[in-house]
Amino acid sequence: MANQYQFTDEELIARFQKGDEQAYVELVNRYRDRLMNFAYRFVNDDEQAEDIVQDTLLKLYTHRHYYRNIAKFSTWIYTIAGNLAKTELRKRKRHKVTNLSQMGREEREYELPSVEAESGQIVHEQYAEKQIQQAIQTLPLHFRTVIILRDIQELSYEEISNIVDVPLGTVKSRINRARLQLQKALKDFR
Amino acid sequence: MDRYQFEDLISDYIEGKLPVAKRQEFEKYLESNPRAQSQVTELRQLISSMHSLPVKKTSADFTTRLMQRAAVARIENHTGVNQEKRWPLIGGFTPAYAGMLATLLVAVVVVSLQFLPEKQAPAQFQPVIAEEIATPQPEASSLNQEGDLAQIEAAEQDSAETAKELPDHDGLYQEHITLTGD
Repeated sequence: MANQYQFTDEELIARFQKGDEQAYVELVNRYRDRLMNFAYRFVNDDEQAEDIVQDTLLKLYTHRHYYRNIAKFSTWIYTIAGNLAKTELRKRKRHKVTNLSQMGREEREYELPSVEAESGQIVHEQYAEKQIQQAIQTLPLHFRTVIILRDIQELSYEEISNIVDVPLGTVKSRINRARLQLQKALKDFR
Repeated sequence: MDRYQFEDLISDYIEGKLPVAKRQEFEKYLESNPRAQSQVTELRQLISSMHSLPVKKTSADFTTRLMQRAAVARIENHTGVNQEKRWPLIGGFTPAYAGMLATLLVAVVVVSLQFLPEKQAPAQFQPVIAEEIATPQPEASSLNQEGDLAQIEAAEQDSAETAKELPDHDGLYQEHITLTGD
């Protein structure tokens, strides 16, 4: 990362904390798609994912002085995004429960998502992506977070441990169990 | 190695993080277990597929919208609108936390006081009063209800005489100390 850019993330946030708004724009450009990918894999909805990324980066703007140079910037920003994504899912869950309870049985059955691919319309890769995405949604939140950070965002175990604030050994064990659970969910889909 | 141990180590094996001895043990298990072999292969493929999932991107007007919101936040910050009220810190804690800590501390002190052993009052020496020794107090029942004044007066006279024969208070006190060692 340091080789790719002129300034490291930590240097940019330091400049932004001193009032350099251009440094903020640079951080936004570096992280908006990474965070979008993370949020989308987490909540499985484009609009909500983009709202989460907007809120995360706005928080970076308004709470810039809360960052202390004791942690990596990426750890800090992923922690914010992760917390916002979890909040969004909890809100959605409450909303969903209300909606389902107001529906009739037939409506409920109709609303449940289908994972079957329409043959001939979707190419194999897209189908595989859709299946993986839906299998991820079956995982409990603590498994979902770590597997996205590890296998999609490709962060190190140490970074993930800092983001989710649990010991390294627990992170490793959660990733392993999440993978096995994901593998089982995909088998069940087929 | 059993099935559970195999599953615990599968990620470490795929990522090449098993120590040599463990890896050999793991591979030995794989050789004798075709189901485990196919599980490793499938998991390897799954991880690889996840690495290569297409990256979701933000919409084209993402940064413009964000900068507009940031500008609004900046104005609100300058004008004090929607600004969070900042409380002064007490010993590095917000007043709410400081209050909670203080309450907790008081609770701990109160509870721990309940468990302290009761302090025994130091044995106090009661000087024996000559009159008490000399004069056995008449029992309430022994006094008839009409109050035999003559009887009482006689008793008082007797006790006064007896008191003259006994040493004074200080003498008794000293004597008691010598005896008890107090």
